Amino acid sequence: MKKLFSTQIVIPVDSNSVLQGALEVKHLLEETIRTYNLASQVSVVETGALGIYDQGVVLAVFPDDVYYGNVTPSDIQEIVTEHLLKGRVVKRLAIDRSLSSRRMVEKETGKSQQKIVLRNAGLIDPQSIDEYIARDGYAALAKALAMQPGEVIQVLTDSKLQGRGGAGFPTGLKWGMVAKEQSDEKYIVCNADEGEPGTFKDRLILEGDPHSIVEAMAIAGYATGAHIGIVYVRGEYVMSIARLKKAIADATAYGLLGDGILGTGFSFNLEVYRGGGAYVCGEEFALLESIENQRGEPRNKPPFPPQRGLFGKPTVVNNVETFANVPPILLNGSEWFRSFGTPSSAGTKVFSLSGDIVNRGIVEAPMGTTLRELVYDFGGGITGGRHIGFLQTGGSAGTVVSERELDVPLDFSSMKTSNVSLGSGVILVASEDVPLLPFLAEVAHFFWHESCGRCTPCREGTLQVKTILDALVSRTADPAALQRLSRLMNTFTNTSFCGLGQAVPLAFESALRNFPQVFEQALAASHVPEASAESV
Amino acid sequence: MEMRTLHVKINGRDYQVPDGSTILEAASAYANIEIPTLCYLEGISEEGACGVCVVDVKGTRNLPRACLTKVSEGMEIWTNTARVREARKINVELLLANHPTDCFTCERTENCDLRDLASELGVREVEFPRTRTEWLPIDNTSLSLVRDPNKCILCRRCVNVCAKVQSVYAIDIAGRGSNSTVSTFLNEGLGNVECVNCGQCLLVCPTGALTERSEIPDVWKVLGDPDKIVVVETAPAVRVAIGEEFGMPDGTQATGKMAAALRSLGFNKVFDTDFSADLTIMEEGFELIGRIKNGGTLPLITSCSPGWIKFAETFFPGVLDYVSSCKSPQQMFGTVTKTYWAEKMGFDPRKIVVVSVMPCTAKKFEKERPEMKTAFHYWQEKMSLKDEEAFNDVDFVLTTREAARMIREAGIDFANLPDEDFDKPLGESSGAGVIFGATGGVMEAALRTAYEVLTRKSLPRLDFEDVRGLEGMKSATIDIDGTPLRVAIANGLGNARILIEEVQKGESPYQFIEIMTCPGGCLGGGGQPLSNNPDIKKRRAEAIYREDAGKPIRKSHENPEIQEIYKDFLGEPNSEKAHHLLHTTYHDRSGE
Amino acid sequence: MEPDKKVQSPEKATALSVEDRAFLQEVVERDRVEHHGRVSYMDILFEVEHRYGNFLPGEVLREVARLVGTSVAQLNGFVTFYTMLSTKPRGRHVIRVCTSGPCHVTGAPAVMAELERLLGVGEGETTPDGAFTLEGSSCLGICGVSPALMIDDDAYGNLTPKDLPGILAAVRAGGAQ
Repeated sequence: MKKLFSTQIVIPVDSNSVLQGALEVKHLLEETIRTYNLASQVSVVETGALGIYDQGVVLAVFPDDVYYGNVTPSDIQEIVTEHLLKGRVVKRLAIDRSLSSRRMVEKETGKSQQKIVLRNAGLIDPQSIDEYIARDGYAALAKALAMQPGEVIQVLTDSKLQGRGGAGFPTGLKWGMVAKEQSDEKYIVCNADEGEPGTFKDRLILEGDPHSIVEAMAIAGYATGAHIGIVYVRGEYVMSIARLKKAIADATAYGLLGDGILGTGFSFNLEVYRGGGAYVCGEEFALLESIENQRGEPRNKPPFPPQRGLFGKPTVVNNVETFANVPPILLNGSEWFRSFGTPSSAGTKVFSLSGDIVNRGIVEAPMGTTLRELVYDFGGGITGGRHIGFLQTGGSAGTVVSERELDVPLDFSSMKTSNVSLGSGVILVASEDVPLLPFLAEVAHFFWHESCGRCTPCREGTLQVKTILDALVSRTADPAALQRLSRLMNTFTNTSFCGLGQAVPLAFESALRNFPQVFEQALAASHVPEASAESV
Repeated sequence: MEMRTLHVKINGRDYQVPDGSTILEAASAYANIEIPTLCYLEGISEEGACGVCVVDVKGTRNLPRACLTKVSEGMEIWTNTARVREARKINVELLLANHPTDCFTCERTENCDLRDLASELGVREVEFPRTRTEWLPIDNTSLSLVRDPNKCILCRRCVNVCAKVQSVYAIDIAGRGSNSTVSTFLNEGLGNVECVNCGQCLLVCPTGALTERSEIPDVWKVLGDPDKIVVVETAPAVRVAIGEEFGMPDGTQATGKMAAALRSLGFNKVFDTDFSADLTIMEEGFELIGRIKNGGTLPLITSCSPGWIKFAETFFPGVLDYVSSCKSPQQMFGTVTKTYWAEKMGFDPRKIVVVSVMPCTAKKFEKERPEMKTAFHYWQEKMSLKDEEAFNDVDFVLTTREAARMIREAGIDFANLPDEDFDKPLGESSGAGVIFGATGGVMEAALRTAYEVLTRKSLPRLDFEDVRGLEGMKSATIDIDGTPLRVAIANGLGNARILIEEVQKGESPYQFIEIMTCPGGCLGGGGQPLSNNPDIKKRRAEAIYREDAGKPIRKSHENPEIQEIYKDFLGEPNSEKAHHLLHTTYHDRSGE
Repeated sequence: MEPDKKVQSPEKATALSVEDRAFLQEVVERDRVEHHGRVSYMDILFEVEHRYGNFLPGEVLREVARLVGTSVAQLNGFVTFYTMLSTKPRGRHVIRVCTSGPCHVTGAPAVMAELERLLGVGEGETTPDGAFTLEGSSCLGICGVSPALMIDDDAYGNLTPKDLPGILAAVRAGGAQ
């Protein structure tokens, strides 16, 4: 096994940091460390994105927990001689927007921070199975294999883990359904087709800790009696795919995948399939169709995937984040997991903060964290000291809310109790400078572009919604436009074939509820041009 | 196995329905409620696309689709709530918003499912504006079918019929969302891809998006030309279906009225394709006998269905040697008319126009095949014709629907016409020629002749019940005086594919195979009247066998006009002259 | 009524070379091994698209359909469903500008407008020199650095309109190597 060093310098190497010179910085750093004969004490580790995106090339020094930002090759000499040799932090480069400063925030707000999903991301070399193992990696799999499959499912059920993709279906229940099906073949599928606008957490998990998914899927296979796992990763996630493939190869070489895992009779193999640019493939049946080399269109429910899924066989489909929760739950127990979160929603949620917010990035916070905490404590407030214009939570298939909702605790019940959706954990902040209607027109454009076209309400309805929003933006809406919009919302909810269409109203209905004046003003200011009045 | 019964409530009343029923089936069979559908086609197209059949089910947030949702114990279904009516209406409105409004002039003006549904649901206003800015180009590449994508409502019935029933897979949805269309590969058009022209897609299309390439204007034109001798031939399956177009009961034998109506339209001679069906039996029957006696390639596979021929040429070029070299009855008719009959009557073949009325859209393609100019070659030397004067054996093909439309245009009261006979000599036929119109008919007709020729005995019983019926695949062993003859019949190309794959592998146990492109054979052809009766093929088949039973002559070789044409013109069946005029060749299209 | 003439698309006329056929066969067989006897059309088509200049010529698709055992119409249905695949010729580099919510809020419309101006083409079009195709895209999952775009497999974030000339120049220079 690889030796663990006393000091680790973690450098995020992802598609974006490479462009800012991360690789040059890394090579120079390694060279300088060798020059000063520090190679036996200091290791340089490539990691996935740290969730800090606006500080150029970032270095993190552990265990000192110091972060440097906007590092250029000319800074390396100073970092090595000052920090590594003399133990003095290079203040000039140190950044305040580090994970450690967030921890400070949490202390002040009285929240206990426990990273469950992101326990390894940014701390280990995601390409090193040894480092994963050194942090209890694959211990949960070993533990599971010593249990009865039913016991594994019971732990999951007791933990109250719910699906993190947005729907919140109880994971233990889903696994139990698949386990009890009699079938010659069953499948474990990981939905890594992250496409909900504003969501980028799964990329971070896959790039930063791919083994956590490999391990969790093997556990799911053992618990349900499946021997084949498939990770469906969106096609743009080139680095996620590469790291996942390496993780699968390494795990196979270590006997943690393949035949007779850890000397037991259990066999499990993993494959990676890629998406091709279709949001609807995040819908579980559309995703399965895509794996089957079909157009990514949903199927009718019931039957559900646990009964008849991939190739007609019982199938577990879980989101990346859901799987990432599984090994810690098995290791620490269901009670431990339930100690985080709220009565309705156990554990943590990985939130993706984006838009006009100071600290854009990924944070993992307990279920029940309020919007205000996310925006101001974790997110550092609005850029330029501006006010909030509006927020969208949960993604494009989520609610548009105002400052009035800032104190709503976000969990699986917040949609029901407060009309604020959790969805995939998107917190998109728009400042007062962002006009609402063009934004909603973009949301409408998004659904129109991503509708698969199978069913009438979604195919034709998204086109009509887009037309109405565009007319409101250009102040050419006719007086009946909002009445039509409202009829359309009902038909999406009532008759859309799948979750995509059924979720279209969330943004528009909430925007109408929370910002009625914006629509009224646009309508009042509208003049229907003659040509289009005729066609209406 | 005993079927479990479930207790359900439909609109407040209690019913017991079998487990496994859909809400649609349960409502129809037990509550007498016909839930409207637009895209649904039982067992073939179950897409849940249109969103019209939605119902209220207690305890569900949305409105489930009745076509796909199975009933469950204790389910409470409401088919007529305000929410349901509004949802159905709005989905139809959404379809209409982007649908052309040329209903007056649309081919489907009288029988459009979309129009009917809008009327049924009381859609009196479309609140939504047209949101598409451009009309899509019409696919006008096929000799048989025309596709107007603007009228397509993306119900996918055509896609599913083409794939699941016919196993041709010439079309699929292309693109995504509101930009999606039903399309051929790279939108090359039906005429440029593996489409076999069967027209089954047209039969299931709920709107005017798929129509036949109409030849009505061409036919009116020649009918008005005093220099032309315009003769018409009618296929066997037409006479048992054309009455439907005039409100006559399904399964009416309208042979006499059809002959009268066509004569009223101005055709100079009203002949019968049944005559050339008898001729086909002579040629094909003797081909079978020859192959059996001389150890030729077996099984012999029939060749009268042009969709099947293109299918074989495209997907199974390796089996073309098994396929009978006989032309189809339509093409034999054209050739004989422009050679034998022209000679007999002393007519200039160039002045003869042959119009055929067919239950088939593929026949429009077949008549244009380059090898179907036999009469021209027959005359070329005799009359020193130049190459550019080449004419087709058959000039125009009308579907049953087109023929009916012309009769309507002419104001003829079809149902009340007195029955008339076909003209002689090419109007004389046997019952064997008639049953060509049903699946298994060619087989039975051939067996009647082959049996008697091979055994030199008279058949004790003419009806071969084993080869009748509408099942997609049938097989039988026929005892020919102690020698067993194993035969198989497939209708629908999906079924044909199964039999033909066996042949390709050299594993076919049969000596004679009949293939019909369309489910049910020609009576279910793509050129037939559109019908909502699920038993329509059965009704038409019954009429065909009644027609056969009522014929004084029921074996092709006993048709006196057939005997005469061999005596006076062709010589023997399969003679050199017969081969030259009545047989054809096929070519490998797999690389196209 | 005469039917329309046969459409012969230019790429259809060019038959595949022996090397093309061997390449396609190799791609399909390699994928079959990776997926334990199954194939992934997406894997195959990504690789094929890369070789044939960011699009899938008709003859190539025909051969792929034959090798994987599907009809060309169905393969066409598959290809036209996914935005990362194209049956129409595209530039040497495909620029995908994210237009979704987070990028919209932080300035994607200005980025798109500037790219249209710099390249002289609209969304969905290819520059006359064949260097770039400009596409609008749904969320690319790099919202932490919005507004963002991808050029081929590389992501660019925290964009302002003034960053764009440099990025285009760098890609052009890289593409010439």
